[in-house]
Amino acid sequence: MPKMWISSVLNVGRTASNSLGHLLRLKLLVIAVLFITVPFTTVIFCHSVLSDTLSIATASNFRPVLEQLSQTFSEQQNADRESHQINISSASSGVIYAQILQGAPFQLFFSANESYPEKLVASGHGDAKTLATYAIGELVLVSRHDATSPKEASPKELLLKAKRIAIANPRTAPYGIAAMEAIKTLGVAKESQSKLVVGNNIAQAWQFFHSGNADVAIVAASLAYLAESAAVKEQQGLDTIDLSSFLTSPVRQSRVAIKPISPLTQQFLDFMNTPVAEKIITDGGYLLPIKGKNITP
Amino acid sequence: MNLLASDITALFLTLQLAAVTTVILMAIGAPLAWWLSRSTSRFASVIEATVALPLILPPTVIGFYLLIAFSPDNFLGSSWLTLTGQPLAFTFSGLVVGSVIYSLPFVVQPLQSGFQHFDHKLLEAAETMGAGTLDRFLNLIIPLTRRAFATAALLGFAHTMGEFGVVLMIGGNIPGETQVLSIALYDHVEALDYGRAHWLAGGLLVFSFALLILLYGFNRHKKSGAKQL
Repeated sequence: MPKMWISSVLNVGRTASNSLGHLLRLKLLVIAVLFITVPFTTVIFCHSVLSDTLSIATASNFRPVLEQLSQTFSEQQNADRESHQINISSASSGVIYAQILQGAPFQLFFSANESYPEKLVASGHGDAKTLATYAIGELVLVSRHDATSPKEASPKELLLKAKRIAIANPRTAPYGIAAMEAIKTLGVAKESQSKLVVGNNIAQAWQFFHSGNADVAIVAASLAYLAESAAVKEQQGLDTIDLSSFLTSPVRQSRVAIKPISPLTQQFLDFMNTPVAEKIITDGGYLLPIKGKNITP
Repeated sequence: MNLLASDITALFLTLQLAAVTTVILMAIGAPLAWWLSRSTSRFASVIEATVALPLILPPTVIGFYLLIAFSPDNFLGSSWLTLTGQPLAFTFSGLVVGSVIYSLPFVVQPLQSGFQHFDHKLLEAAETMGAGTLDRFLNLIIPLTRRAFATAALLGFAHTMGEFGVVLMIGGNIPGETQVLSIALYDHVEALDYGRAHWLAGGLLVFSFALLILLYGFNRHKKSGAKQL
């Protein structure tokens, strides 16, 4: 079998040899061999050196904070001379939930709601002891102010004036559901329906707004925070309005570990309860749940 | 579990998108392919490479850049807004622009290869007999390269039907406007609605297969027909 493709590759080389020099052909062959072998050897190398791996799946809104958490955690661990690798995957919570049901190899799941982790405990995938609310998120309306839209516009005015409203998909993303609830409470559901552009997750909804294609977005405060931090906010004229008062309950985000729990997973969960970790979470635009009030299914 | 109204809407939207894209692609693709098949300039290689780019570029690259280009802050987005009063992002027109770029090589390459096999002495002969440009195109080039035209149109149509990544990034998932079949299917899968996903996935599979059988059957028929001549 291998001889077949070699001869066909060489045939292609021969037909090309009219225009290509001998040396060039050799170079191309070397490049082709490198392209094929390098990825394989790199993968094998990585796996052999870093055997202890923690794979975390997170709702897109929490990804920036989780990256900082994992970096700080790794710095602390490396001081103890332990080598490990943390892989972070992000999507909308509903998508991760479905992936875990199908056997996706995640050890920890940071959801943007309470129900998906609870369901995973009920289905036997999640470990009940590790189920906890780790952050309370804020829903915000982000807009740009210019000459035509005064800075003091109300959320209702902004939504009525907008041509495109970016939200996360309410079928899979808790912040998408929350956004729909806020729109309804504001009494502009009918007017907004045809203006909604639906991102796959909250990060895409933010991208729709950030690229200038949607004039407002309803997203997690943690995402809006990213742009707010620098002088960028002033330069781009970004406004964020808290929509929490238009929700019946705040967006409570829960996490759960997927069985079986490795020592590294437990170490990370312990780290989550330290003041350092809690400061990273609050700095990221979240509130902390009251301690000792862990939810039970 | 069966097809709901939104899925039917997605079906018609997809067919509409594929049809509009194919018509535009044939109009752009035919002259472009003709020029590429005749030109010997170095510049032609650059154009040829540009046309082939969507074959190897991840659709996410095209989608990412298109969304930026569509923004009213940028040239393409703002000129379109001024001309039509509608933005490009999250609209059917935007999807057409994306699909034309994405399916361009599938139309240009079969046409170009068809034109390369076309005997240009015939054109000269026709010209000496007084045939005008349009006359030569309609009565000489098209009949003799009709297999290339059919292949180009069918591939352009089928490839647009199967478009996903670009639409995912520039569409905004709006029913009746940008929610094509592949996006509706993805949405069902992500929401664990596997029943409806099966309907759409199975339908797309059968349709694409039928389209390709039509294409290859047509080509085979023509080949054997040509031998008899």
